[in-house]
Amino acid sequence: MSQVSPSDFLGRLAEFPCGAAVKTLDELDAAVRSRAGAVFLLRGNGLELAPVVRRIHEGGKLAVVHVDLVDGVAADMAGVRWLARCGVDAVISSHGQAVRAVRAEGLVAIQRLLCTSGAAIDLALAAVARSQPHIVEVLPGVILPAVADLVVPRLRVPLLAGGFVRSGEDVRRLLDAGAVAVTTSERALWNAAG
Amino acid sequence: MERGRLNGATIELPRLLLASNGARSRPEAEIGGVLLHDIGLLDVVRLSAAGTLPLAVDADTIEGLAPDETAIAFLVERLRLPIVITRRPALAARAGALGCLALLHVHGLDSTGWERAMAAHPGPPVGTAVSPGLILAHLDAGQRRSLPGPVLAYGLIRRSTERDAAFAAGADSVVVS
Repeated sequence: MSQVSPSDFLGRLAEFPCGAAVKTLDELDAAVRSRAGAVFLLRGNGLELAPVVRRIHEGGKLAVVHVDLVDGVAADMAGVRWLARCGVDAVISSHGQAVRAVRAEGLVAIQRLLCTSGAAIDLALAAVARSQPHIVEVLPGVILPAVADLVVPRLRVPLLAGGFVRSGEDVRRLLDAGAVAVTTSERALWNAAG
Repeated sequence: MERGRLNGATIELPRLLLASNGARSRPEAEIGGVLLHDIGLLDVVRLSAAGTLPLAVDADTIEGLAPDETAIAFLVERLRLPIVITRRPALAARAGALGCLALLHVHGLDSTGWERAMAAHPGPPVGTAVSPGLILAHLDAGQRRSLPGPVLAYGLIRRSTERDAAFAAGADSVVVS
């Protein structure tokens, strides 16, 4: 079971403000060898995670799993408990129920805030207020500067930005807009963020 | 940009669509149509009879409307709504086959989700409504080229600079509120 506290987790992200978002195991080696402090697993077999998490930990990284996107694991209490047994440090979900389960398991809970419209932002912020994640991830992160006035003042937790983040300039803009770190699948940024 | 013909009439996507959930608003002079969203089915029926501007409808957000072909046929054939938006590729294709201007609603949240959504796109004559509209300006050239038109930038565009950026990125129409 992971013992990483939310403040430890944020401290690792602060050291290098770019998390490695991984969609296939082919990308895992590059992520583990990179400067990123955390590897975000966005795809794959959630029922065979333990060896993957072990590789990430052996590389000195934190392991974050998106429970809504990996195959085989439900975004519910039992699914989250499974991820905890696999050694995962943090779990992402868009669903408040899953976020509450993550907190109950003692893991770092990250809730996605999907910014597709003003109404969607309002609903998502209300959901965040109910489920009380440790961290919120804004998607698509690249638009954070344009919607920061709608989001940042209404959040009391640190913010990640993920989605369509492609360049160092993007990273700088998002950090300036209020994000503590970004997540990206752009490998070049795993070693040279911002 | 023209994409459909309903009852013999050419359908064009207005350059600016005013988002409306039934609340009163003061439309700008250049507004060319109204996009109905997040309202009840009875309101859609009422507004479809009273409207003077072309109406578009976000079918997935209409309370009381099932996500099925019967509902799409009702919107197009009974209410004669010229523009229908839905997240469901099969229903978008059905709406297009019925003669309206159909747009598949694609959420641009990250590159992975984008690839999945575009893989399910039925293609022309079904166009694309991209949410948030702000993301159009952040797509790369290849992603923009692969968008079946007409393209509607839908959501979170609040400033004139953002509107201009969406048009510059290839939007045929922008939803404003």
